[in-house]
Order: sequence, then C-alpha cells, then structure tokens
Amino acid sequence: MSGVAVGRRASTARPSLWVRLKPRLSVGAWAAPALIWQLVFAAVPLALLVLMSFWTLSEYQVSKEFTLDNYSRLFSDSIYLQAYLRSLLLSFTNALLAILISLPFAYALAFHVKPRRQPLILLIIALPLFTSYLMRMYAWQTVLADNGVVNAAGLHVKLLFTETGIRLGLLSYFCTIVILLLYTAMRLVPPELLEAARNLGATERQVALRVILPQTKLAMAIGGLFAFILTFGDFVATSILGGGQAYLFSAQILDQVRISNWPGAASLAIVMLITLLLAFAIAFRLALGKRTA
Amino acid sequence: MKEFGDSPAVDSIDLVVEPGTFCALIGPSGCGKTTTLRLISGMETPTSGQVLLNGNDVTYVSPRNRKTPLVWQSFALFPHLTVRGNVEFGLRMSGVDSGERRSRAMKLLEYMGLAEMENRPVVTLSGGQRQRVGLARALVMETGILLLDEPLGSLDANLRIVMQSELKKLQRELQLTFVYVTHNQNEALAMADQIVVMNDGHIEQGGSASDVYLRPATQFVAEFVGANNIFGAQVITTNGTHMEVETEIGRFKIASGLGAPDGSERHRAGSAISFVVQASRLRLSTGNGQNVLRGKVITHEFSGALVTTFVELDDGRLLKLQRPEIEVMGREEAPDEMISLTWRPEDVHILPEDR
Amino acid sequence: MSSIGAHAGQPPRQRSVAKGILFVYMGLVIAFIFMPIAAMVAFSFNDSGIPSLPWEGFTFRWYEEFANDAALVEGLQNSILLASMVSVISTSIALVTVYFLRRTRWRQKELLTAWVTAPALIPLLMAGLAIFTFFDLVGWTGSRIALACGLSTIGIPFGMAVIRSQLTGVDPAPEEAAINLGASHWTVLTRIVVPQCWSGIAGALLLTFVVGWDEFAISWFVTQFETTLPVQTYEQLGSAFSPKINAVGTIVFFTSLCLTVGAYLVALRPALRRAGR
Repeated sequence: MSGVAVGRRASTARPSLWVRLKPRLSVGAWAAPALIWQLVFAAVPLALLVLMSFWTLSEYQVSKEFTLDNYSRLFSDSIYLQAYLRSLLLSFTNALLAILISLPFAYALAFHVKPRRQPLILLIIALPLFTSYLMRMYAWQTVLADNGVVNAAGLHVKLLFTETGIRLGLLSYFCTIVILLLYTAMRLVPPELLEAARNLGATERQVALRVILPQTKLAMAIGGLFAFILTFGDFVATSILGGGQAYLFSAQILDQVRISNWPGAASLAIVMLITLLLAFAIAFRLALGKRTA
Repeated sequence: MKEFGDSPAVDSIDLVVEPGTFCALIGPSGCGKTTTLRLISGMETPTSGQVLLNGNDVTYVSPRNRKTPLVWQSFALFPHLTVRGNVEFGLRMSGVDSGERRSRAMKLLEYMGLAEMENRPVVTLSGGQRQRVGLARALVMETGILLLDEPLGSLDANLRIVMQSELKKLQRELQLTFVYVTHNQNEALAMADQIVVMNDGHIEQGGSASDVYLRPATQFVAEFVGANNIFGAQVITTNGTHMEVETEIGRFKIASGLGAPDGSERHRAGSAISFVVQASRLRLSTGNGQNVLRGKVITHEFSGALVTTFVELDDGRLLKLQRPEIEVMGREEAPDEMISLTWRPEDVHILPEDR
Repeated sequence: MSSIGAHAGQPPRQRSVAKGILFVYMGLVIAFIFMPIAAMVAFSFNDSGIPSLPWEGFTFRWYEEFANDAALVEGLQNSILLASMVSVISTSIALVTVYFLRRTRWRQKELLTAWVTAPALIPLLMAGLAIFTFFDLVGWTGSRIALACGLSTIGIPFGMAVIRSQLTGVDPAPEEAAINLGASHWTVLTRIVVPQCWSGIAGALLLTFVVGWDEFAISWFVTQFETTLPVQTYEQLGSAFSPKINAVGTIVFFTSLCLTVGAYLVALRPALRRAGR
C-alpha cells in the first residue's frame, strides 16, 4: 500500500547540490564523449596552432620564444602579399562563377523537371561529393594535360598547370554543393507567389528573375561562401593542377611545411582562418541584410 | 513547484493521495496535471518542494528507482519485443530470474485474457489489446501504486467504457493506489474516490466526486465540471435559512447554504456572492412563481441519455438546461421559442468567497 | 509544386525552345562534373602508355601493375585499416551523442550539435596542419591510431546525421517507459534504441568509413611511415606518370561510390520514406 504526497518541503533543510544535480549529470555524461573528443582532437590543436604562430624557428628547430616575426614577415615579404591577393581574387571569382553556373541548373531542376525525377538527378550530382577529392583532381589532370582529352578532342589549349585548370577542378567539386543549396531554397518558394505573378501577366523570365531569384539570396550567400572557403583553403587542386608553382596562398603554407617552418606555416594558417571568418561574417551580413530590407 | 523557463508549470500544490485510493487529476490542457504525474514518477524534478512516497522523500531519487510504474496514453510498448517480453521487462530490470519472471507475467496475461498472445509481436495487436499489455507491464511490478496518463484516450468510446469498469475493479480488488490523469471528467467522476481539479498550475479543488460535482469550491470548478449556471448577486435580505438576492436579471430567493462549508454568517445583507444552479436542476415553468427566468431557445445538444438545451436571456447570457432524453424527444422546443425556467431555492450552491 | 503548364503570355514554341536550352545546359553541367571521372575510369582500361586518346585497346594491365606495386598495395591496406578505425570510433561516439540529444531537456541542446559539427567545416589544410603539430608536440606521430582519432573529428558529425535521421520517426515514449520500469541509460540505449535503428548504425558505419577512406589532406600531414592509399598516390603522382594511377583512382572511386550508395539505401532512403509518410 503506497500513499503519495506532492507539496512544499516540510523541513527547511535543502538537499545538497550533488543530490540535486545528479539526475542531470547522469544524462549529461552521455554528451561527454563527443564534447571531449572534439575538444582534444580539434579545439586544442587549433589553439596550439595559434600558439605556434607566435613561436620562432631557429636552426630548423622550433623554440617557444614568443615573436611576432612570423606575422611581420607577411607584410614585409611581397611574396606572401601577392599570393594572398591572388588567392583572394581566385576565391572570390570562383564564388561568383559557382553561383552563376549553378543558378540555371538549380532553376531548371526545381521547376522544369518532373517532381518524381528530381531526387534521382539530385543523387546523381551528389554522388561525386563522396568520392575521393584527390582522385577527382587527378582525373582532371588527365583531361587537361597537353595530350589529354581536351587537346585530343581538337581544342588546343594549354590548361594544365594554369590557374584556369585549378579553377575548373575546383568548380567541378563545389558546384554540386551550391546547386543543392540553391535547389533547396528554390523549392521553398511558395507556389502561390509564382501563380500570383503569372496571373498578373509575368513571363517565365520575369517570374524567374523577379520572384524566384530574390528568394534565393541567402542560399546564394551560403553557396558563395562555401566556394570561397573551399577555394581559399584548398591545396590539392593547387598542387596537382597548378603544378607546384607557389603563387597561391595555400601553396605558400605548403612551402613552409616542406621546409619544416612550422611557426611560419602556422601564422599563414591563422591568417587564412581570419580571412575565412571575415568572409563568413560578410556573407551573412549581405544575405541577412538584404532579407530584412 | 516545477518551473519550465519563466512560467511555473506547477505552482505550489499540496496533493495527498491516501493509500489504496483512486485519485483522478482533471483539468484543461496545460493545467499541470501531466507535470504533476511526471513529478511523482521522477521524470521531472521539482524546482522547489518535495515528493513523498509512503512517507519517504523521493524528490531527488532517479525515476528508475522509484517503483512508480506508468501506464501511457500511447501505450509506449517496446515495438521489437513480444507481448511477454514487454510484460517481463520491468521484472528483468529488477533482476528477477527468468523462471519467476515468466510465471508472474503469464499469470497476469491470463488475468487480462491475453495468454495465448504471449509470443506475438506487439505491433500485431489491436488498440485495446495493447492497452492491456501496457497495463499488465505496469501491474506485474507489484509496487502497490500505479500512475496512469490518459490511458483510455486512444481507445474508441465503447472500449473506453468497458475499460473504465475493469480498471476500477482492478484497483479495488488489488487495493492499489491509482493516480489517474484525464481530461474526460465523466471518466473521473465514474471511477475516482478522490478528484482533484487543476487549473493553470494549481489545485482548484480536491474532494469526492459529489463534492466536486455538487459543491464546487471555485468558479473555475463550477464552470469546468458538469453543466452549471453561475450567477453573481448581491444579498438584499437574509433570514437565516433563506436569502433574497439581487442579480442583473432579477431578484431571486435562494437557500442560504447552511450546508456550505463557510456557513451562512458571511452572507449578510449587502455582501456579494456567486451562486450556482445545476443545469439539471432547472425546470420548465408556467411563468409564475418565485425564481423565474424567461429566454429564447437557441439549440439542443443530444448526448445519449441527456439533452442540454441552451437558452438565451434578454441580456445575452446563456443558460444551460439539462433534461432526460425521454422527456424531450419528439417534443423539443423549436429554436427561437420562448420558454420560462425556474428552480427551487434549495437547488442552489453558493460558491465560497474570494476564489 | 506549381503548375508548370500554365505559362502566361508566351507562345508554345518559344516555351519549348527555352526549356530545351535549359535541359541541354543541365546536361552540360552534369558532363562537366562527371567527365574527369569518366575519363579516368575509361583510361584505366586503355592499353596505352599514356592515359589519353587514342584508344589502344581494352586491358586490365594497369590493375595488374597496381596489384604488383608494393607501395600502393600497402597504401591500400593501410587505408582499409584506417577507415575501419575511423568508422568504429566515429559511429560509437555519434551513437551516444544522439542518445544524449534524445534524453536531454536542455533547450540549447543543438549547441552541442554545432560544437561537434564545427571541425568538419575547417579547411582541411588547416585541420591537417593543426592536428599534425598537435601530435608532434605530444609525440604521437606516425601512428595510425592517432590519424584515426584526428579523422574521427570529421566522421562524428556524419555519423550523427545518419543516425539522427533514422531516429526522427521513432517514438521516444517507450524509452521513457523503460526508465520508468527501472532501466539504466545504458540498458535503454542497448535494448531499446539500438534495436530500432540498426540500419542507421549500419549506414553510419559505411559513411564514416568513406570519410576515412577518401581522406587525403590530414593523412598527408600526419603519416610519416604508414601512408594511406591517397597519400601514396599523391607521392607517386609527383614522380613517374603511370596510367596505373588511373586504375587506383577507379578502384577508390567505385569503392566510395558503392559504400555511399549502400549507406543511402540502407539508412537514408528508409528514413526519408518514413518521414514522408
């Protein structure tokens, strides 16, 4: 026989903090593995990288002396500045190109392909995302080489080991992501808006440009940001398709790594991180700013 | 008290359920009845206050150690286990060995009439059968207390009525303590020894079925339980047993509520009161007499054995009149027809003050 | 989906021409994305010293050379081992984290999701550098386990996404019922949750395997001795230019493909179907 009572506490003594927290801890413990794992293997290494960027390299050994040399070198040595600006330009133009290429595709897929076939095509273009990035860049090398497919097919262009080559490789990689983002945004446009526009006499072109396009601004910003980040931070395409010429920022980092100048590489990497965070902030300001306007 | 964010879900309640009684918590959605149940079972921890089981403070005891098996509205059966697997689960958690587990489970399944289903996967069962498995799963724990969260909510009407009497029978026979949450007041009135009406996180009234039904303690209870007509009035004269009161729609004579818990001392001339006339205590009148109201019939609501008629008075107020179906059928008033209603002075309940 | 047919104010012929152009464009983009892969696969069977036209005949010779190249084969073995470790680590941690998200009533619980996902968004160059310098400092370089730990930071969010999507349609009430009847969290996880998301776990294992299998950047930084296949390939690319790399590429590509499609069929598609119901 059990009686039940729920009510105010009889005695004034409140149970200890431990007793009160125990129920929450028994659940919280299950978050610990992921929390700690990412802390140890991601957050700490990154923090270490920041720290490392302030250390010095003397006689091929890293010493923990604090110095700003690594950073001041960036400004004094014009190589770095040039590489930085080149990378910036390349990344920015890649972002624009990715958006330009993906928009018509996403539009066509979202509005002119039968709904039943859409997931299939999505899957087709998404598949390459999960295959080895390295292998795909290598495959591009095959295609772009002087005796590769493009040249053999009649177009006598030198594409390998040029910036254009790098661009092609990278675009083929992240266009898929941008297409997916834009497609999702387009599908979220309320059909009533389209009907209303058509009802008021708009041509398909006007509907696309004036109704659908504005609604995808956020997706465009995110997609562009992705392309930017992936281009700026890439070193695989740069080395494979660019032929080791160190005129891009990521190649500079590689160079520093090759000569074991870890502090130097670290400082460049931090610069890269800051650049990417800035790009992140700008992209969101752009996207959200336009939305509320 | 239990707070979620800024507003308390349950705020300073004092609930006591005697062992072996059937206690029902009723109230509108969001009133805190389910939260109270979860506080008892340990799925929620109060922000302040305590929970006692058999006199033991279990406020911070983890739910798995509380021995307060729950019966769920959605049944919450384990989809990948068989019927017997489900019923045995709690015993398994307690470390009971497989032979004893099996015999206890089978005994209960036989009692429930589900013995031949023991190895069926639960997904193949009907709603009523699943409910009984859920019940068996909780009963087999033999803890003396059972918590039920709208257990009959997912069943269809006929089955619900059958299960109501079965549950009551079960509780009586096994002398269990039931804490039963429902939003269906008829269910509660039919089964419970103790009814607790909750609203907005606190208890409006707790008492027997007749207490709550015939003698509501607050305006909310009067509006929520049964079908009542509530009048605000001012006392004109009182002579001990009866009072004359003035309302916006006329003067009436009512009994001064000698049976009311507050007594009649408070009801002096000039004081403001609220009184309640049950819809079933209104009668048709010839138009003459003590307490008469005249109004226009709006509509009739048929609910099986009763018919509720809505009558609109001059000032727009709606009265509810309840009559047995046989009195009405075939002779119901047409819409917009004018009728007169009356009640006896004794058929009035005065609401206790300041609620 | 809006009615495509009702176009106002445009003659039919113009419409279908415009539509035709769009479809051609779509085809071009798809070709653009797939062409290099198609070329690689094609040339892996081309009996020519140069991975290019003209076509000289069908052959398996490059696959044979691959099998005979000790360094590459060792790289393959290392890749398989590494990917398996990443798979197991990532999926386990993903599982317990998803369990936490199901049980907790913390209103900011998605902050944890953000914390777990963030490492996957860092450019691999930076991640590789950071992880390598970290291991170097701790003195843990050259170890396959170390690399697996590093790669798991990327695998965990993928695993979580798969398992979570599988569990979205699953009612949490039976889990609470189990606790009510005396089960510990571990019991609830193993006896109630896991039996209901086997395919999700399988999908997570497959997908996280692909993450470890494909990964190059971080591996390149971290491994000194036991290089994985992608790293080995990269090294070889610098030196002799042999078409057997095509064979390697094709194998890697198809493995990733099969595993990803497998993960999709096993876990994602059933989850999507259930969500749509």
